[in-house]
Amino acid sequence: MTEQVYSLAIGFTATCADGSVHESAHFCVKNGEPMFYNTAGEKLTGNTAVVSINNATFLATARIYIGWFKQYREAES
Amino acid sequence: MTISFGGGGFSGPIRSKLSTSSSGSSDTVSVSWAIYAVKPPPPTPPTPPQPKAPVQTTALNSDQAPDNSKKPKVDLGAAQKVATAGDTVPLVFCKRANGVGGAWVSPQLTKTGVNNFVGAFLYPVSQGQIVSSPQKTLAWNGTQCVAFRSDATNITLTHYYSTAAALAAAPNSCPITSGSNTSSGTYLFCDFDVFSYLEPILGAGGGTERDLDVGGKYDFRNEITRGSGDLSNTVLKIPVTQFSVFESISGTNVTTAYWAAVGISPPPTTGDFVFSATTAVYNGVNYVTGGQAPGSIRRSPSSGYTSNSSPYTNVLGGSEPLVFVYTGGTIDNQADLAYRTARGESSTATDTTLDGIQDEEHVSIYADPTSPPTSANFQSYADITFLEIQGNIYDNPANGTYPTTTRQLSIFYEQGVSVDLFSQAKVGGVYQTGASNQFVDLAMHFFKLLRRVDGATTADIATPIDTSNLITLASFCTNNSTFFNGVIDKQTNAIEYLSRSAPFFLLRFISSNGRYSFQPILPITTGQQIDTTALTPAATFTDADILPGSFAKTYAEAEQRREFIASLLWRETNNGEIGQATTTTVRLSTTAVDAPLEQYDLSDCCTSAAHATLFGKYQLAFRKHVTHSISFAISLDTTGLIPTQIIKLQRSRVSSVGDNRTETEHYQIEKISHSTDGVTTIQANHHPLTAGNVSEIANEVVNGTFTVK
Repeated sequence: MTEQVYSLAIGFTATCADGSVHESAHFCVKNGEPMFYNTAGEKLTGNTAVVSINNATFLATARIYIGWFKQYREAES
Repeated sequence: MTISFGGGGFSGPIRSKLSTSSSGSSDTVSVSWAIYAVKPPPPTPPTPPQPKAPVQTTALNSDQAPDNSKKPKVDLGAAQKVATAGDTVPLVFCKRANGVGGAWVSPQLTKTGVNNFVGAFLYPVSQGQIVSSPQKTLAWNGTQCVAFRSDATNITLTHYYSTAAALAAAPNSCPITSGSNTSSGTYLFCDFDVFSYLEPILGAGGGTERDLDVGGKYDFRNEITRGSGDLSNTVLKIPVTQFSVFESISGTNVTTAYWAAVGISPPPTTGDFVFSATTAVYNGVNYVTGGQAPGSIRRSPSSGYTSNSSPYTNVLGGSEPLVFVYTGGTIDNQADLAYRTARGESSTATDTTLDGIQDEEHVSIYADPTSPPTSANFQSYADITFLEIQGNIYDNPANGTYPTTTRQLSIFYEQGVSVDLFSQAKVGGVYQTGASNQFVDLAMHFFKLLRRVDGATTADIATPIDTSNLITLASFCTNNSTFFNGVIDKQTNAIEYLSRSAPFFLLRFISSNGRYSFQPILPITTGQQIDTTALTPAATFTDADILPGSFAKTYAEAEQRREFIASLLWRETNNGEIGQATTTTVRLSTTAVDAPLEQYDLSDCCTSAAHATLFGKYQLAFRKHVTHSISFAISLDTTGLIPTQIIKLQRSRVSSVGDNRTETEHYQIEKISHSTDGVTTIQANHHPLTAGNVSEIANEVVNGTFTVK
């Protein structure tokens, strides 16, 4: 089955819950699941869930982006 | 100066003469006064109480408003009329025959939808099921035929209809089956809370997007790239500093809260929103690699609808929908510059003709609106023909704009609703069904709508209208080409409408022997033609029959019998252009060209000059030959006389000088009533016959000399 990927934000610095910082991270919806990924393609979830981002390029309108981001936050909380 | 009065008290006008003079001069002034007795002013009448406002008149007033007519209006270029609650769904009753007839309808718009940025428009065109299929060549948007629009090949017209019985058996079965693929979404759906709409375009000049309260509902979204040319490396870029968020009701600026919710506090000063972009990964890093093609569409989610929690909360946890405002941006036609630089390649600029992006929202109260639960009830859609138009029928856009308005739709139907055909013989013991242009079929259809008759099940003896002569009268109407082709678009009393309209077809709608009945207004032959042969009256009455003192004769006023020109208003049905009302004038050839005009409005039902002219001739002949009316009483009549029958009266006039004579006149019964004390009262209009006993009125209509324009 073809993977459905919808990029929402790219090229930003993500700070995670454990204090780790990931450059050039991106946020996308893959098969309906909103998720942050680092440049290694690893999900940023759990202890490494993203708590703040900086200097992003947002690829979706603010209403759409924040909706998926909220869904991500709810899943991680 | 003194004034003296004679007598005591005021008893009428009192005059007094004054004279003044000044010493040493000849100045003398004489003044006459008339003083009238002064009565006290009449008491001020009490202010009448404010009349009570009638209830339930908003819908009635709207129904009567000319602007809400479903017939083509004079201003063909007007904007599409949108329906409001309570508006009447029209009845399209027509059948085109020999190049005459059919009906133009200008329906109101009840719902719009969109899917993949293709518009869909829903119009209730008629009660009942219309027989004709909708044709693009017979449909007009304003002054433009749909078949000749630039995108005509992609425009489709579809009828939807479901009977009351079918919906009663399956209330959740929406008759509007426009689109049935959940993945692609539906165009239009019955439920009020299943809808779709377009957001404004977001471009370099900025724009606004609005949150929608979808609490407890389902939604998905399509996004399209609007523009032209080569946009393969062109994107819309809006800095994050050109962005604000507001609560839609309070107007509170919550931009800071928005960015904090994203995870950026304080709000960012760097970064961009980049729209209509493509991305790719290089060395683990995501880059913008180009732009989307004009007209390309992205769906989110890729299939189905997203479920939303209830009650609605916005993304910041509040209860007010939010408004997102972008105040400007730029078109970047080398979007892949960073990507190419990382790869050691050069970037190629493409066109800057990107207008922006546009969202299309779909909302549903069901997870799958194509399969609503059994609790859904769409029975209000029963027995109505809906027309759906899919495609671009929007107004032609000005350069760089994407209009969302349409012009008033007008559509022609050769065959209207299917009705029981009482104008034709039964087949297999039941009346056939189909479109009709017979007034008698319309009358029976009224009673079917009132649930008083059904062509398949009601015995003739039980029908509210006597059916024994309907086939005969239908032949009479066919022979005279007096057909009904029109749109009934207002609430109307059935009896009143039939009584008022029957004369247009040279018929009369009467009540006889406990039932309604149609009778010809003129004598007719066995071949269902106007009879211009010698007549035999249905009954003859003499002085011996007339109860003493009951006879009365009233002559028509001179004003009512003056010469006039009949102006007949009827409606054209040229299927190549939208039918408009037009007039034909008829006058007796002996009538002056500047005689007064009297207008008769047949535009609801008449679609030929011949029909209108025939009615005009009858009116002129009636006015010419009918001089008086009578009423008299007799002992109870048991012969079954009914209105429209011709009777003869022979009365003796006895004079003191022996100049006795018998007066014989013929009359057409207007009204007949029977009282419980055994008296029948007859009211009748003068209906003169020629020396050969031919109806003067019928003869005038058939053989008279008229000037028609």
